[in-house]
Amino acid sequence: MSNTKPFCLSVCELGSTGSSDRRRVMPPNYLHYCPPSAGGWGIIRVGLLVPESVMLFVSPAGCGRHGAIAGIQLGFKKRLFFLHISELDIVTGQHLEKVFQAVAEILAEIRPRPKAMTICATCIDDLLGSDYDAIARELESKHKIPVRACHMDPIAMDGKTPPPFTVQQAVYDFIPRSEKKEPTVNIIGSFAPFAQDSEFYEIMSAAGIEKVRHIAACSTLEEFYQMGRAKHNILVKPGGRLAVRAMEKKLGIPYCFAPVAYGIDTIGRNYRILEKLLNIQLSTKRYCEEARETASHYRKVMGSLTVAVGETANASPFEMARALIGYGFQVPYVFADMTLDIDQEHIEWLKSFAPYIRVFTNVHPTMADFLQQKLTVDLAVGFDAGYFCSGAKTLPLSLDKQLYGYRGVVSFFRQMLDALENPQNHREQMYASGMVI
Amino acid sequence: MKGLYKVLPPFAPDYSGVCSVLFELGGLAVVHDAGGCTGNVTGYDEPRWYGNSSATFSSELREIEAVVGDDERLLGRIEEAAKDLKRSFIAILGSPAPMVIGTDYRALANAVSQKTGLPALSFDTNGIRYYDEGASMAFLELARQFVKPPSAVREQVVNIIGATPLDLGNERHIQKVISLLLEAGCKKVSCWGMGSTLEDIEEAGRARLNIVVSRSGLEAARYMQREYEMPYLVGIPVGQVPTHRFSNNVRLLLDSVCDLNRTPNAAYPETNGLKALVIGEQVMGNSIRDCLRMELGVSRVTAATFFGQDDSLTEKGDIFLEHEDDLTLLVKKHHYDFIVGDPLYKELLPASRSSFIKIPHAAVSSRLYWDNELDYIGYEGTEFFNLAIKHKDERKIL
Repeated sequence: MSNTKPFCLSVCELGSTGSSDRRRVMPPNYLHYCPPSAGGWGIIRVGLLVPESVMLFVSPAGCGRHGAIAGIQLGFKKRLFFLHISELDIVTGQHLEKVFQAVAEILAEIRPRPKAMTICATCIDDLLGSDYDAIARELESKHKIPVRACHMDPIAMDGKTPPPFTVQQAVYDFIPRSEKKEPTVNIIGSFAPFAQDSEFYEIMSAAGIEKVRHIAACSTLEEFYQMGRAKHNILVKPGGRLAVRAMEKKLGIPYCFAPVAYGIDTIGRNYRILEKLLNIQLSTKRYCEEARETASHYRKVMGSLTVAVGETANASPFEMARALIGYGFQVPYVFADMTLDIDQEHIEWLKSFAPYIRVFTNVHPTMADFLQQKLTVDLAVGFDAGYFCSGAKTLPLSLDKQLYGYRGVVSFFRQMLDALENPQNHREQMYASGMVI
Repeated sequence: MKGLYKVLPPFAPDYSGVCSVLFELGGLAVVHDAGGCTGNVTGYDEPRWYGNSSATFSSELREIEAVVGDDERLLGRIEEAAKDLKRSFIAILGSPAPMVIGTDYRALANAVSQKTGLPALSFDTNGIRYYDEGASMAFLELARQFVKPPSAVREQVVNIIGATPLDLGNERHIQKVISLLLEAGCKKVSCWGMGSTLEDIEEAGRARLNIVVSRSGLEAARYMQREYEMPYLVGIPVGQVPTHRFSNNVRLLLDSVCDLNRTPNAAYPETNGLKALVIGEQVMGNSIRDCLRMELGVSRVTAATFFGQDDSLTEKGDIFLEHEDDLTLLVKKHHYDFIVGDPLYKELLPASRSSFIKIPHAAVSSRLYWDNELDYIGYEGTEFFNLAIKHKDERKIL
């Protein structure tokens, strides 16, 4: 083992230009390290958000292993089926024929009969040029249930349609166009509905919005379809970008981007964006004041902590770092592999007010030896930050629960305190989360 | 339908088998993939990954590189990493996408070796085959590339070949085998893949005996038998009588008396008319079979596996399970009083009077059970299976 100096940048060295809306922190042409703390929900779990649906995953045996094991851990494996491709299949293209037989067998055997199905293809079918959309149309016509194709194809990760984005597009493509519109809004981009205590529901209700819909809160396909009646989509995470664009085009639902944030000013700005979309004034002042008071209280209770922020946290790591510094904490390290357009203003702010921040990328080869660095902080937000700052108490802030708005800040502070007072075993917590690459 | 898996997860793929063997050897392993395959290895097939500094990387293959066949970028990336990280060899492994474009891994390894000056191994893995084939390739390659020809004098050293966490589970299991070997008179035990360094493997030719603990170790042991006339024993001691027999055989071979017929015949208990099915990796399955027969008198034990079988280890009536439906059909067709296997197999079995004894196999159930504390290797195997049979009613498949 070598004593390797890890790759890192000062926050001031982060680029702000580039043709893509996603920029890698690490320069090109490096091998990628895959730390134990990497991952997220994965394509399979996201695809299975469609209620009463099942998924057929068509691939060489190895590709679906992590998704299947996570499915057993988290309880969605019974809706997930695998069609293993052989070498002969690849040469002859027979696996595409076998999809029809497999779907027929699944629909004949599984009870209750699935009401919708997703066929998931992988990298090799990208290279083979297989047309899974055509297969989905044929299956739909044959079995009289909606069928969509999605792709777990990290080989397309650097293109314009990377799999974490296209899978959300495929999920929402199940929704049929509805001429009937209702005074409701859809939340798109997050994998969980806003926490019940979020003021968002009260604010929307006061503004005449009858229902705030989220796919994970729909227990039936019929209920999910009602998202097609919404007047507006609110995109809260960048991963839903292709989905909202497609929904605007197909379903006629306009959208705005009001991303999950933890800084009070940024949250306020999100509500102003929503006011513009909904064309109504929203009453948010009292919630804003409550959040300010809570932040001040918890800052006093917790003291001047040092906090490392990671990319696996349910946040933009740069917005989160900015927010924490704004509340009076110290953020010496950020772990991030990508910077997005929405991060830029926060990065610029950090360049001015916290130029000392060191940015590590989880994937650089030198991270293999990173634990020798023995970085110390009081608290790490995100599994990746917790792993690399191995003595720190960790707040995973996972994607399984969606904090939003001013009460999201309140909840975040409570979770910080809980993580400090009741630290959990990082490895156990991480494995239990079922994260996949 | 063949190839349709409705219950079981996909098993650990061949590239995971290679990575598992190389994990502790201080090399730099590159899975030529888009990222997800490496995520399988590190997140779901390697219990040692957490907190370790093993250098297993993804090449981050992208569409454009695959389409234009741009190998130079891969070579450049490996060269950069080799400069940053001081490692003793480089291994290049395949995955499904580069298989489709017909990547020549051997040529890549030659180019890498020339650029870096390090030994480079190549593995034509594709994610279609299972871990055991990958592990077998890796053990054999280690024997071919690194083991130095033995000197005239052999030492009281034993190599264990075939041990990976994918088969053996947690480290405690292999430690028990090592302890038994030391008790049997070995001065040193070198366990490839779990505990040994690359230097130990280089010196493996000095050993007097190889112990093969999974089918994956067999080809390497045969190679060393051919090249260096080194004998080998196959098996894992499970239960008192098999453990005695194992220790005796080791003693005999260490004393250069290679007549296994001198092994004392065990006094087998009377057969009890019970039938058992053991599902698992072939060597482990056979070892559990020995225990059930020799210790507990189980009359008929069938070994079945989803993984590779070697003819020399296969008894008449043993079964290769090609697809998950095969297991369901087998158990519908034949009655077994006991079925031994990974806990995930249980869901495939029809309700019956059979009792199920769980022996987790990480290549099947991954992290779900790899922290288990089951104690069935060595002498303790007798008590483990005795208890399981005693409480058979609690283990019914309902």
